[in-house]
Amino acid sequence: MSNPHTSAPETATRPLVEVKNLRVVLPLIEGNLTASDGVSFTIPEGKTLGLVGESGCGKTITAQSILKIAPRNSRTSGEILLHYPDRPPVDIVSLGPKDDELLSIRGGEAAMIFQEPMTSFSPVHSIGNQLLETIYLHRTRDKAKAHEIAVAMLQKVGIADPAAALRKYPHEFSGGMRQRAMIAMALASQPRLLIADEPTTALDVTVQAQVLRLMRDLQRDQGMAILYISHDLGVIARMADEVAVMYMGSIVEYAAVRDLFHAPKHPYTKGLMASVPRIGKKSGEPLESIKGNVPVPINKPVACGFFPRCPVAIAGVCDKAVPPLVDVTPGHRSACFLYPEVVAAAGLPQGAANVH
Amino acid sequence: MSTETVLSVRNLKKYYPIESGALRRVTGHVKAVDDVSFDLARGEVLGLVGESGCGKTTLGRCIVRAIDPTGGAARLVIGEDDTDVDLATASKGELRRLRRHMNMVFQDPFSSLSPRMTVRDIIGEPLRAQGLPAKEIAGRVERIAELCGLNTAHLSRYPNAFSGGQRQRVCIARALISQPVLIVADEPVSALDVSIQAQILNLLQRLQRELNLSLIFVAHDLSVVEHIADRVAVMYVGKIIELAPTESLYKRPRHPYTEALMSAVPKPDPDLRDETIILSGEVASPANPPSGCYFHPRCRYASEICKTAAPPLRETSSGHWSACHFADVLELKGVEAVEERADG
Repeated sequence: MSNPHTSAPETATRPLVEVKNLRVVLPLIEGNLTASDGVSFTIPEGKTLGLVGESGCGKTITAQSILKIAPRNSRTSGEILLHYPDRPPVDIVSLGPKDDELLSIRGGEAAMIFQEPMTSFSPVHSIGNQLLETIYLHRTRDKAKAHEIAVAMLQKVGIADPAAALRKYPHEFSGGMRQRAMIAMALASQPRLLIADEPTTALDVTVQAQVLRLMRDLQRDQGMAILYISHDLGVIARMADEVAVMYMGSIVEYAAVRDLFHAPKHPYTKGLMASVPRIGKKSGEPLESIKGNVPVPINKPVACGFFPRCPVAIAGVCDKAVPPLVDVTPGHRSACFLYPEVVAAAGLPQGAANVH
Repeated sequence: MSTETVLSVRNLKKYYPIESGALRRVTGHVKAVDDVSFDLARGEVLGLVGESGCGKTTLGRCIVRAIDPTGGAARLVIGEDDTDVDLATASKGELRRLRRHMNMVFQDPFSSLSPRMTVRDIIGEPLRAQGLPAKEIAGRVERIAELCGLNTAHLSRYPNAFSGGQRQRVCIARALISQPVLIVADEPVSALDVSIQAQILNLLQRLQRELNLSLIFVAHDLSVVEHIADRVAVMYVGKIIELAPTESLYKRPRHPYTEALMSAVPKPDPDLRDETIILSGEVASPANPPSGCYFHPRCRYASEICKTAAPPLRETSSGHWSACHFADVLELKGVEAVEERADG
């Protein structure tokens, strides 16, 4: 099982999670919603992969699939391999819902923090009870020891007077404190993977800054890998080592963070970057915007998902075939027919897309 | 931009009583907006920024009398003969007449449109309230809809058929149809996707210029506010703590809170060192604010005087107002210095 993996820009570290050709389809009344359409990526140990995209692009459902918490009626195919240092990898997709293996992964090997800390805590249990539950499940059954761990975790995330905080209820915390407590809960089991789904979107910028710094410090101390989901390019630039940009259920660009921000290749990524106003750069000019609306991937046609909004779309090519995600420069993948490598990989004759 | 003042807000206050005990005795006040004064010129865009709970939304709503202020004045210049009326003290009847001169655009385009009305009816509603004839309304609805990027086919549909961006276009059309002089837009793009945000910002900016509107743009996103605003007011615990022309504020802030706020905005460049000034503690409670300068417990420059004396908002250089005792001596860092490196 140690054949060299083909997805993701190569990294020196070993892979922790490999997602291969993940497909998640939600049957709806209006048709089949392809939330995740052949998504592949690798998260190396101790590194952060940023997953960027707009609402409905499938970034959340992709992350949920890793913990097998995607909506129950969804149909999942593909592989999600979780690697262990001492035994063969486990394919999470193939695990049953009651599998012991899955229960030890969920909240143990891989933990998740959510956007809304208020709705992800139970309002009727104290913070301590909820934190201790995780610790009993994954760390120790010893009461005194568990309490010790809980206090240490809260201290680590910067909550003053952690012993008293354990007795409090979520509503007694401010938004920033709740998100800290959420992080403490997620990290209490010493997971090797932390999935963070827009963890700072509901917070003010100054609180967001505190939480981002906290997460990076904890990553340095505990060495966990992070899958960081966000729509905010600024946050991604600060947090990620590698970035995958999603659009309509597919990854359209995948590169190391510096390559992506300094030389974006996909028209969607370029459009996204041009449409955010940059602080310190007042021009008085209108922003460049992407025309049209964010689509919903119901009954997706066989075409580039971005075709209807793309300023450089090639009629007859982009609306007829799905561009595969391949290297267009070493380690920098883009799914766009503007690049000959993509045209070749799709099996189209070279020159098919040379209308420019 | 002319310097003709359209709106002048003086000592505006909104206090909410805190009641306790069985007799509901008033034991204190939450000072949501506390003694705010500023002027707004015709055709000017004023950005109102601050973190949640700072009172920026309440201030916007007090000005257009969506809620009644506790005290102070907000004088609006209207009509051909430039009469000015005090919105803060206008009676219910007067307000009904005044409504067409000011309007709001809200954050959430999903809850601010009635699901039972067609888009045509929604946009025309302000004119119906004025009692205009149906024919005139129909014509004006179509004109304003087109201006906002909606076509005739859209008009007979219901809001549920629209995406967030299109709904926000409907909200903007509704706000503009009565030809107001003042618009208060409360986080109009925060609920939208990044690629749609730019469309709506461009639309707002174009309409604001074409119609010479005075716009109060309430937002938490400093990059968006910098893009659209001529001047920016920063609020902290119910007060304006800094008010300055946009460029001046972003280049060289004169209040430590503004400096920290700007440093905390994540910039989309992975090469920039994280130079965030991490503020300790939490935002002060407007029910029980600290003594002296409200920001002093979190301020890294605070000294003795900050604990005892509240600094007034004063003009430190031309047009640049700051409520900090040390506004003249502190060398605070703006955003430009950081961004320059990114170009290199």
